[in-house]
Amino acid sequence: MISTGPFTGSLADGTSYFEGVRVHTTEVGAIGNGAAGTLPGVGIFVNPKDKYNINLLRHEFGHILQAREWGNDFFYGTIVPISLMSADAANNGSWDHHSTWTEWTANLLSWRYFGKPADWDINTYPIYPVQYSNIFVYPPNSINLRD
Amino acid sequence: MKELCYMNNLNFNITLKSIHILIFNLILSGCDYYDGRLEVQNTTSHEIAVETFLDSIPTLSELNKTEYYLQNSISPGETERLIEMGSTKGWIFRIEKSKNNRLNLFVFQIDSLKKYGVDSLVSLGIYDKYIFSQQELDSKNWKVVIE
Repeated sequence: MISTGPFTGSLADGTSYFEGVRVHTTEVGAIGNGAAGTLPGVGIFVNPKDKYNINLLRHEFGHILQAREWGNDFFYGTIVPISLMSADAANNGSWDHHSTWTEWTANLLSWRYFGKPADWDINTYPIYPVQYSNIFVYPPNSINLRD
Repeated sequence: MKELCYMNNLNFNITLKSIHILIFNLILSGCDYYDGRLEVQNTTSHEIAVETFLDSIPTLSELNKTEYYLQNSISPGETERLIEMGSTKGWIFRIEKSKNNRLNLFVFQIDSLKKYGVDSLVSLGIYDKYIFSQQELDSKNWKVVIE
């Protein structure tokens, strides 16, 4: 049977895709030391060890869905600065990054996109905030989160 | 017309430059930090799944659904890397957050998971328990061998 959905897998030239989005691997900088990131229009960036980490790729793909749903301007203008600020604070142990709205809404959109799968890692990639002490818990009123 | 082409080229160059700056920043700073140092090696003869808890007694609220464990199983002879999202020191923070200041790793057999589901296994205490201090994990180079 030939799948008509977006391509997930590796091609003969070594390039990898997740739901049609290019997955780039690098061991340089933060990504080499344990980080991942997404630039809609360019692709998902992960450590080579996580090229097939479906749980992480699903989260990163959620950022692609944010840009599709709410626009590239909103993604690069609002989501990226907040996400980077939150990630830096969380990296120092100050708070839970996945309780920041830029992250849990990425999880939520991805969880819905994949049909609310039972094998979703809800502990690591929550679809709602789990720590309310985070100042970035609530998304702006302008975005629509209705199913 | 020539002027228009020049402007288009200029815009294209600016866009290309912005994309390069974004990629450079992303690789340097990341967006989603995580700690991928913990490895679990399955030297048993059966397929297993693992989970960590914040106490030496597992709680149902910290569990994923059974399907998640079936999807993320570790075959005999295989080594799986566990990632803790949020920080490159994620496992250290997780240990500090736990009630006993230890990493509480629980092992479930896939055959049992298929038969009873993870909730029943936890309620009935059908699992193996591995508890380590940070010092013990450092000395093992964060590689836990399941025997």
